[in-house]
Amino acid sequence: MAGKRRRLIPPPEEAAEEVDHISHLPDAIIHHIFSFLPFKDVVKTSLLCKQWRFFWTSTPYIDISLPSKGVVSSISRALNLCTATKIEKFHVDATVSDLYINTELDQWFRFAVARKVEDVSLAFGHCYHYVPRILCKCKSLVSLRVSRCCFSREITIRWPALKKLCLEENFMDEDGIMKIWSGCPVLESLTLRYIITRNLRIESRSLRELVIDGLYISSLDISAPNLLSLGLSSRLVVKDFRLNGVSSLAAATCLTFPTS
Amino acid sequence: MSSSSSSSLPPCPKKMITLKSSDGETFQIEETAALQSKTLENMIDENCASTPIPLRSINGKILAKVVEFCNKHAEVGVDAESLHAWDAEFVNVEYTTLFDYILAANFLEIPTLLDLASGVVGDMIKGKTPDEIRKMFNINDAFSPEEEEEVRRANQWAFE
Repeated sequence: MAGKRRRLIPPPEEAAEEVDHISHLPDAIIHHIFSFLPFKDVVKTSLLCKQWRFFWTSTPYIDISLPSKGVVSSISRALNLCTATKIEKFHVDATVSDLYINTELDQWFRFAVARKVEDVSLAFGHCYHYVPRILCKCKSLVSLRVSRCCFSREITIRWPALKKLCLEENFMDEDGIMKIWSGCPVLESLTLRYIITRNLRIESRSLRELVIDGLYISSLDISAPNLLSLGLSSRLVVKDFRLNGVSSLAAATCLTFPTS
Repeated sequence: MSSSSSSSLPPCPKKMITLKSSDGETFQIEETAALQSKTLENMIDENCASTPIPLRSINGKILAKVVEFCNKHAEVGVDAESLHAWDAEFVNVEYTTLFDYILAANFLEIPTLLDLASGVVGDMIKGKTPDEIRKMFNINDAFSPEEEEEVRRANQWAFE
Protein backbone atom coordinates (compact mmCIF):
# COMPACT_ATOMS: atom_id res chain seq x y z
CA MET A 1 0.00 0.00 0.00
CA ALA A 2 1.35 3.40 -0.95
CA GLY A 3 2.38 5.74 1.83
CA LYS A 4 1.40 8.95 0.06
CA ARG A 5 -0.01 11.57 2.36
CA ARG A 6 -2.85 13.81 1.40
CA ARG A 7 -2.31 16.29 4.18
CA LEU A 8 1.15 17.00 5.37
CA ILE A 9 0.43 19.37 8.26
CA PRO A 10 1.66 17.52 11.35
CA PRO A 11 -0.65 17.44 14.36
CA PRO A 12 0.35 20.14 16.87
CA GLU A 13 2.02 18.57 19.91
CA GLU A 14 0.50 20.94 22.45
CA ALA A 15 -3.06 19.85 21.82
CA ALA A 16 -2.50 16.12 21.53
CA GLU A 17 -5.91 15.14 22.83
CA GLU A 18 -7.62 17.37 20.27
CA VAL A 19 -5.63 16.07 17.32
CA ASP A 20 -7.54 14.88 14.28
CA HIS A 21 -5.57 11.67 13.79
CA ILE A 22 -7.78 10.22 11.08
CA SER A 23 -7.28 13.13 8.69
CA HIS A 24 -3.52 12.61 8.98
CA LEU A 25 -3.57 8.99 7.87
CA PRO A 26 -2.10 8.34 4.40
CA ASP A 27 -4.65 8.32 1.56
CA ALA A 28 -4.14 4.63 0.83
CA ILE A 29 -5.02 3.75 4.43
CA ILE A 30 -8.19 5.83 4.42
CA HIS A 31 -9.16 4.10 1.19
CA HIS A 32 -8.48 0.76 2.84
CA ILE A 33 -10.84 1.74 5.68
CA PHE A 34 -13.36 2.78 2.99
CA SER A 35 -13.15 -0.76 1.59
CA PHE A 36 -15.10 -1.88 4.68
CA LEU A 37 -17.86 0.70 4.19
CA PRO A 38 -20.96 0.86 1.99
CA PHE A 39 -20.70 3.49 -0.77
CA LYS A 40 -23.29 5.59 1.05
CA ASP A 41 -21.05 5.92 4.12
CA VAL A 42 -18.05 6.71 1.90
CA VAL A 43 -19.97 9.54 0.18
CA LYS A 44 -21.15 10.74 3.57
CA THR A 45 -17.55 11.60 4.53
CA SER A 46 -17.85 14.60 2.17
CA LEU A 47 -19.59 16.40 5.01
CA LEU A 48 -16.91 15.76 7.66
CA CYS A 49 -14.86 18.86 6.88
CA LYS A 50 -13.34 20.82 4.01
CA GLN A 51 -10.38 18.45 3.65
CA TRP A 52 -12.71 15.51 3.23
CA ARG A 53 -15.19 17.15 0.86
CA PHE A 54 -13.98 15.54 -2.37
CA PHE A 55 -11.78 12.78 -0.99
CA TRP A 56 -14.50 10.13 -1.40
CA THR A 57 -14.45 10.65 -5.19
CA SER A 58 -11.06 8.89 -5.38
CA THR A 59 -12.26 5.68 -3.68
CA PRO A 60 -11.42 2.47 -5.54
CA TYR A 61 -13.93 0.50 -3.41
CA ILE A 62 -17.61 0.82 -4.28
CA ASP A 63 -20.22 -1.20 -2.44
CA ILE A 64 -23.71 -0.13 -3.49
CA SER A 65 -26.82 -1.17 -1.67
CA LEU A 66 -30.09 -0.38 -3.42
CA PRO A 67 -32.92 0.01 -0.95
CA SER A 68 -35.28 1.74 -3.39
CA LYS A 69 -35.61 3.16 -6.89
CA GLY A 70 -35.27 6.69 -5.50
CA VAL A 71 -31.51 6.48 -5.00
CA VAL A 72 -30.62 5.04 -8.43
CA SER A 73 -30.14 8.34 -10.28
CA SER A 74 -28.28 9.81 -7.28
CA ILE A 75 -25.86 6.88 -7.32
CA SER A 76 -25.34 7.33 -11.08
CA ARG A 77 -24.50 10.99 -10.46
CA ALA A 78 -22.12 10.07 -7.63
CA LEU A 79 -20.36 7.49 -9.83
CA ASN A 80 -19.90 10.15 -12.51
CA LEU A 81 -17.84 12.12 -10.01
CA CYS A 82 -15.56 9.19 -9.17
CA THR A 83 -11.99 9.68 -10.35
CA ALA A 84 -10.16 6.44 -9.48
CA THR A 85 -8.45 5.05 -12.55
CA LYS A 86 -8.55 1.57 -11.04
CA ILE A 87 -11.59 0.11 -9.27
CA GLU A 88 -10.72 -2.71 -6.90
CA LYS A 89 -14.20 -3.64 -5.78
CA PHE A 90 -17.63 -3.01 -7.27
CA HIS A 91 -20.54 -4.61 -5.44
CA VAL A 92 -24.22 -4.04 -6.15
CA ASP A 93 -26.77 -5.48 -3.78
CA ALA A 94 -30.41 -5.20 -4.86
CA THR A 95 -31.73 -8.13 -2.85
CA VAL A 96 -34.17 -5.95 -0.91
CA SER A 97 -35.53 -3.72 -3.68
CA ASP A 98 -35.08 -6.25 -6.53
CA LEU A 99 -35.14 -3.35 -9.03
CA TYR A 100 -35.21 -3.61 -12.81
CA ILE A 101 -32.58 -1.05 -13.68
CA ASN A 102 -30.87 -2.61 -16.68
CA THR A 103 -29.87 0.69 -18.27
CA GLU A 104 -28.29 2.00 -15.10
CA LEU A 105 -26.62 -1.32 -14.31
CA ASP A 106 -25.09 -1.36 -17.78
CA GLN A 107 -23.73 2.12 -17.21
CA TRP A 108 -22.42 1.28 -13.75
CA PHE A 109 -20.67 -1.86 -14.89
CA ARG A 110 -19.29 -0.09 -17.96
CA PHE A 111 -17.75 2.37 -15.48
CA ALA A 112 -16.28 -0.48 -13.41
CA VAL A 113 -15.06 -2.61 -16.32
CA ALA A 114 -13.37 0.42 -17.96
CA ARG A 115 -11.49 0.89 -14.67
CA LYS A 116 -10.24 -2.69 -14.65
CA VAL A 117 -12.38 -3.88 -11.76
CA GLU A 118 -11.12 -7.03 -9.96
CA ASP A 119 -13.80 -7.91 -7.44
CA VAL A 120 -17.47 -7.85 -8.49
CA SER A 121 -20.62 -8.94 -6.73
CA LEU A 122 -24.14 -8.60 -8.10
CA ALA A 123 -27.16 -9.80 -6.14
CA PHE A 124 -30.92 -9.55 -6.66
CA GLY A 125 -33.98 -10.75 -4.79
CA HIS A 126 -35.37 -13.02 -7.53
CA CYS A 127 -33.62 -14.80 -10.35
CA TYR A 128 -35.27 -13.18 -13.35
CA HIS A 129 -32.51 -10.61 -13.83
CA TYR A 130 -29.63 -10.88 -16.29
CA VAL A 131 -25.94 -10.30 -15.79
CA PRO A 132 -24.89 -7.15 -17.72
CA ARG A 133 -23.21 -8.20 -20.97
CA ILE A 134 -20.18 -6.00 -20.45
CA LEU A 135 -19.33 -8.02 -17.35
CA CYS A 136 -19.08 -11.24 -19.36
CA LYS A 137 -15.96 -9.99 -21.13
CA CYS A 138 -14.24 -8.29 -18.23
CA LYS A 139 -10.58 -9.27 -18.56
CA SER A 140 -9.54 -7.81 -15.20
CA LEU A 141 -12.02 -9.81 -13.05
CA VAL A 142 -10.38 -11.88 -10.32
CA SER A 143 -13.35 -12.56 -8.08
CA LEU A 144 -17.04 -12.68 -9.04
CA ARG A 145 -20.21 -13.43 -7.13
CA VAL A 146 -23.52 -13.53 -8.94
CA SER A 147 -26.66 -14.15 -6.93
CA ARG A 148 -30.15 -14.64 -8.38
CA CYS A 149 -29.10 -13.29 -11.75
CA CYS A 150 -28.81 -15.35 -14.95
CA PHE A 151 -26.54 -15.32 -17.96
CA SER A 152 -28.35 -14.79 -21.25
CA ARG A 153 -27.96 -17.70 -23.66
CA GLU A 154 -26.08 -15.99 -26.45
CA ILE A 155 -23.31 -14.44 -24.37
CA THR A 156 -19.65 -15.36 -24.59
CA ILE A 157 -17.68 -15.54 -21.39
CA ARG A 158 -14.10 -14.29 -21.28
CA TRP A 159 -12.67 -14.12 -17.81
CA PRO A 160 -8.97 -14.81 -18.38
CA ALA A 161 -7.95 -13.66 -14.86
CA LEU A 162 -10.90 -14.99 -12.83
CA LYS A 163 -9.77 -17.08 -9.86
CA LYS A 164 -12.82 -17.13 -7.65
CA LEU A 165 -16.41 -17.60 -8.79
CA CYS A 166 -19.55 -17.95 -6.71
CA LEU A 167 -22.88 -18.58 -8.42
CA GLU A 168 -25.98 -18.59 -6.28
CA GLU A 169 -29.56 -19.47 -7.14
CA ASN A 170 -29.23 -19.28 -10.91
CA PHE A 171 -30.81 -21.30 -13.70
CA MET A 172 -28.15 -22.69 -16.00
CA ASP A 173 -28.29 -25.04 -18.93
CA GLU A 174 -25.43 -27.38 -19.76
CA ASP A 175 -24.31 -25.08 -22.54
CA GLY A 176 -24.05 -22.13 -20.20
CA ILE A 177 -22.03 -24.15 -17.74
CA MET A 178 -19.62 -25.30 -20.44
CA LYS A 179 -19.15 -21.67 -21.49
CA ILE A 180 -17.99 -20.85 -18.00
CA TRP A 181 -15.35 -23.59 -17.90
CA SER A 182 -14.02 -22.62 -21.28
CA GLY A 183 -14.04 -18.91 -20.41
CA CYS A 184 -12.16 -19.22 -17.09
CA PRO A 185 -8.75 -20.81 -17.75
CA VAL A 186 -7.30 -19.98 -14.31
CA LEU A 187 -10.33 -20.50 -12.06
CA GLU A 188 -9.19 -21.83 -8.66
CA SER A 189 -12.22 -21.62 -6.43
CA LEU A 190 -15.82 -22.34 -7.37
CA THR A 191 -18.90 -22.21 -5.17
CA LEU A 192 -22.29 -23.23 -6.54
CA ARG A 193 -25.35 -22.68 -4.36
CA TYR A 194 -28.76 -23.79 -5.53
CA ILE A 195 -27.92 -23.83 -9.21
CA ILE A 196 -30.87 -25.29 -11.09
CA THR A 197 -29.74 -27.49 -13.94
CA ARG A 198 -30.24 -31.05 -15.15
CA ASN A 199 -26.73 -32.30 -15.70
CA LEU A 200 -23.81 -30.58 -14.08
CA ARG A 201 -20.42 -31.34 -15.53
CA ILE A 202 -17.46 -29.58 -13.97
CA GLU A 203 -14.33 -29.80 -16.04
CA SER A 204 -11.38 -27.68 -15.09
CA ARG A 205 -7.64 -28.21 -14.91
CA SER A 206 -7.07 -25.14 -12.74
CA LEU A 207 -9.75 -25.74 -10.11
CA ARG A 208 -8.41 -26.30 -6.57
CA GLU A 209 -11.43 -25.76 -4.39
CA LEU A 210 -15.05 -26.68 -5.10
CA VAL A 211 -18.15 -26.24 -2.96
CA ILE A 212 -21.56 -27.42 -4.14
CA ASP A 213 -24.49 -26.64 -1.93
CA GLY A 214 -28.15 -27.38 -2.37
CA LEU A 215 -28.72 -28.81 -5.81
CA TYR A 216 -31.30 -31.21 -7.15
CA ILE A 217 -29.80 -32.59 -10.31
CA SER A 218 -29.79 -35.80 -12.30
CA SER A 219 -26.08 -36.13 -12.73
CA LEU A 220 -22.96 -34.55 -11.36
CA ASP A 221 -19.67 -35.25 -13.08
CA ILE A 222 -16.49 -33.71 -11.72
CA SER A 223 -13.25 -33.87 -13.63
CA ALA A 224 -10.61 -31.68 -12.02
CA PRO A 225 -7.10 -33.16 -11.75
CA ASN A 226 -5.79 -30.36 -9.53
CA LEU A 227 -8.73 -30.23 -7.13
CA LEU A 228 -7.50 -30.12 -3.52
CA SER A 229 -10.72 -29.66 -1.62
CA LEU A 230 -14.29 -30.67 -2.33
CA GLY A 231 -17.26 -29.69 -0.18
CA LEU A 232 -20.66 -31.20 -0.86
CA SER A 233 -23.63 -30.15 1.21
CA SER A 234 -26.09 -32.40 2.91
CA ARG A 235 -28.79 -30.60 0.92
CA LEU A 236 -27.42 -31.98 -2.35
CA VAL A 237 -29.58 -34.52 -4.15
CA VAL A 238 -27.87 -36.31 -7.05
CA LYS A 239 -28.98 -39.45 -8.85
CA ASP A 240 -25.73 -40.11 -10.67
CA PHE A 241 -22.46 -38.85 -9.18
CA ARG A 242 -19.11 -39.33 -10.88
CA LEU A 243 -15.68 -38.26 -9.80
CA ASN A 244 -13.10 -38.55 -12.55
CA GLY A 245 -9.49 -37.55 -12.46
CA VAL A 246 -9.38 -35.93 -9.06
CA SER A 247 -5.96 -37.33 -8.23
CA SER A 248 -4.89 -34.32 -6.15
CA LEU A 249 -7.93 -34.36 -3.90
CA ALA A 250 -6.74 -34.11 -0.29
CA ALA A 251 -9.97 -33.33 1.54
CA ALA A 252 -13.59 -34.01 0.81
CA THR A 253 -16.12 -32.82 3.31
CA CYS A 254 -19.82 -33.00 3.72
CA LEU A 255 -20.92 -29.52 4.65
CA THR A 256 -23.84 -29.19 6.96
CA PHE A 257 -25.95 -26.08 6.98
CA PRO A 258 -28.56 -24.96 9.43
CA THR A 259 -32.03 -25.49 8.03
CA SER A 260 -33.62 -22.17 7.26
CA MET B 1 29.28 -38.84 8.39
CA SER B 2 28.15 -38.40 11.96
CA SER B 3 27.19 -41.62 13.67
CA SER B 4 24.63 -40.06 16.02
CA SER B 5 21.07 -40.96 15.22
CA SER B 6 18.50 -38.25 14.64
CA SER B 7 16.67 -39.13 17.86
CA SER B 8 19.66 -38.20 20.02
CA LEU B 9 20.06 -34.75 18.45
CA PRO B 10 18.86 -31.79 20.52
CA PRO B 11 15.69 -30.21 19.17
CA CYS B 12 16.42 -27.79 16.37
CA PRO B 13 16.74 -24.32 17.97
CA LYS B 14 14.03 -21.95 16.87
CA LYS B 15 15.34 -19.33 14.52
CA MET B 16 14.79 -15.92 16.07
CA ILE B 17 15.06 -12.44 14.66
CA THR B 18 15.35 -9.19 16.57
CA LEU B 19 13.28 -6.08 15.94
CA LYS B 20 14.20 -2.65 17.30
CA SER B 21 11.51 -0.03 17.92
CA SER B 22 11.82 3.71 17.29
CA ASP B 23 12.49 4.25 21.02
CA GLY B 24 15.24 1.64 21.13
CA GLU B 25 13.39 -1.35 22.66
CA THR B 26 14.30 -4.72 21.19
CA PHE B 27 11.93 -7.63 20.64
CA GLN B 28 12.70 -11.21 19.74
CA ILE B 29 10.32 -12.96 17.39
CA GLU B 30 10.44 -16.42 15.89
CA GLU B 31 11.13 -16.38 12.19
CA THR B 32 8.02 -18.46 11.48
CA ALA B 33 5.86 -15.82 13.21
CA ALA B 34 7.71 -12.94 11.54
CA LEU B 35 6.94 -14.39 8.09
CA GLN B 36 3.40 -13.02 8.38
CA SER B 37 4.99 -9.67 7.61
CA LYS B 38 5.90 -9.41 3.93
CA THR B 39 8.39 -6.67 4.78
CA LEU B 40 10.20 -8.94 7.27
CA GLU B 41 9.89 -11.92 4.93
CA ASN B 42 11.74 -9.96 2.24
CA MET B 43 14.48 -9.04 4.71
CA ILE B 44 14.80 -12.66 5.84
CA ASP B 45 14.98 -13.80 2.21
CA GLU B 46 17.69 -11.27 1.48
CA ASN B 47 19.66 -12.30 4.60
CA CYS B 48 19.20 -8.86 6.15
CA ALA B 49 17.66 -10.20 9.37
CA SER B 50 20.80 -11.42 11.17
CA THR B 51 21.24 -8.11 13.01
CA PRO B 52 18.45 -6.22 14.87
CA ILE B 53 16.05 -4.72 12.35
CA PRO B 54 15.41 -1.03 13.10
CA LEU B 55 11.72 -0.05 12.74
CA ARG B 56 11.91 3.73 13.02
CA SER B 57 8.20 4.35 12.55
CA ILE B 58 6.95 1.95 15.26
CA ASN B 59 7.35 2.61 18.99
CA GLY B 60 7.98 -0.07 21.60
CA LYS B 61 4.43 -0.14 22.92
CA ILE B 62 2.94 -0.82 19.50
CA LEU B 63 5.73 -3.15 18.36
CA ALA B 64 5.16 -5.30 21.46
CA LYS B 65 1.51 -5.67 20.45
CA VAL B 66 2.38 -6.42 16.82
CA VAL B 67 4.79 -9.15 17.95
CA GLU B 68 2.06 -10.53 20.24
CA PHE B 69 -0.37 -10.57 17.30
CA CYS B 70 2.08 -12.36 15.00
CA ASN B 71 2.90 -14.92 17.71
CA LYS B 72 -0.78 -15.66 18.32
CA HIS B 73 -1.51 -16.03 14.62
CA ALA B 74 1.47 -18.36 14.18
CA GLU B 75 0.30 -20.68 16.98
CA VAL B 76 -0.57 -24.14 15.77
CA GLY B 77 -3.89 -25.74 16.66
CA VAL B 78 -5.87 -22.62 17.55
CA ASP B 79 -9.44 -23.04 16.32
CA ALA B 80 -10.99 -20.26 14.25
CA GLU B 81 -13.56 -19.37 16.88
CA SER B 82 -11.12 -18.79 19.72
CA LEU B 83 -8.77 -16.86 17.41
CA HIS B 84 -11.71 -14.68 16.41
CA ALA B 85 -12.46 -13.97 20.08
CA TRP B 86 -8.77 -13.22 20.73
CA ASP B 87 -8.69 -10.82 17.76
CA ALA B 88 -11.81 -9.02 19.00
CA GLU B 89 -10.13 -8.48 22.37
CA PHE B 90 -6.89 -7.37 20.68
CA VAL B 91 -8.61 -4.53 18.81
CA ASN B 92 -10.77 -3.50 21.77
CA VAL B 93 -8.61 -0.38 22.24
CA GLU B 94 -8.73 3.40 21.76
CA TYR B 95 -9.06 4.42 18.14
CA THR B 96 -5.68 6.17 18.23
CA THR B 97 -4.09 2.81 19.08
CA LEU B 98 -6.06 1.24 16.21
CA PHE B 99 -4.50 3.81 13.87
CA ASP B 100 -1.06 2.89 15.23
CA TYR B 101 -1.82 -0.79 14.52
CA ILE B 102 -2.96 0.12 11.00
CA LEU B 103 0.16 2.17 10.28
CA ALA B 104 2.44 -0.54 11.69
CA ALA B 105 0.61 -3.29 9.77
CA ASN B 106 0.82 -1.19 6.62
CA PHE B 107 4.55 -0.62 7.01
CA LEU B 108 5.28 -4.24 7.91
CA GLU B 109 2.74 -5.52 5.36
CA ILE B 110 0.72 -7.75 7.69
CA PRO B 111 -2.62 -8.05 5.84
CA THR B 112 -4.45 -9.87 8.65
CA LEU B 113 -3.71 -7.11 11.17
CA LEU B 114 -4.31 -4.35 8.62
CA ASP B 115 -7.74 -5.73 7.74
CA LEU B 116 -8.65 -6.47 11.35
CA ALA B 117 -7.90 -2.93 12.59
CA SER B 118 -9.22 -1.17 9.46
CA GLY B 119 -12.44 -3.18 9.70
CA VAL B 120 -12.97 -1.99 13.28
CA VAL B 121 -12.46 1.65 12.24
CA GLY B 122 -14.90 1.02 9.36
CA ASP B 123 -17.45 -0.31 11.84
CA MET B 124 -16.99 2.82 13.96
CA ILE B 125 -17.89 5.00 10.95
CA LYS B 126 -20.66 2.84 9.47
CA GLY B 127 -24.16 4.27 9.85
CA LYS B 128 -23.05 7.29 11.90
CA THR B 129 -23.96 10.87 11.04
CA PRO B 130 -21.15 13.20 9.90
CA ASP B 131 -21.53 15.05 13.19
CA GLU B 132 -21.05 11.87 15.22
CA ILE B 133 -17.96 10.95 13.17
CA ARG B 134 -16.50 14.46 13.59
CA LYS B 135 -16.91 14.27 17.37
CA MET B 136 -15.53 10.74 17.57
CA PHE B 137 -12.32 11.59 15.69
CA ASN B 138 -11.90 15.27 16.65
CA ILE B 139 -12.33 16.41 13.06
CA ASN B 140 -12.37 20.21 12.86
CA ASP B 141 -12.23 22.64 9.96
CA ALA B 142 -16.00 22.41 9.71
CA PHE B 143 -18.06 23.95 6.95
CA SER B 144 -20.04 27.14 7.36
CA PRO B 145 -23.80 26.44 7.54
CA GLU B 146 -24.16 27.57 3.90
CA GLU B 147 -21.32 25.34 2.71
CA GLU B 148 -22.70 22.43 4.70
CA GLU B 149 -26.07 22.85 3.07
CA GLU B 150 -24.43 22.88 -0.37
CA VAL B 151 -22.43 19.69 0.30
CA ARG B 152 -25.50 17.99 1.74
CA ARG B 153 -27.59 18.94 -1.30
CA ALA B 154 -24.94 17.60 -3.70
CA ASN B 155 -25.38 14.08 -2.31
CA GLN B 156 -28.65 14.22 -0.42
CA TRP B 157 -29.26 10.45 -0.81
CA ALA B 158 -26.22 9.62 1.31
CA PHE B 159 -27.54 11.60 4.28
CA GLU B 160 -31.09 10.22 4.34
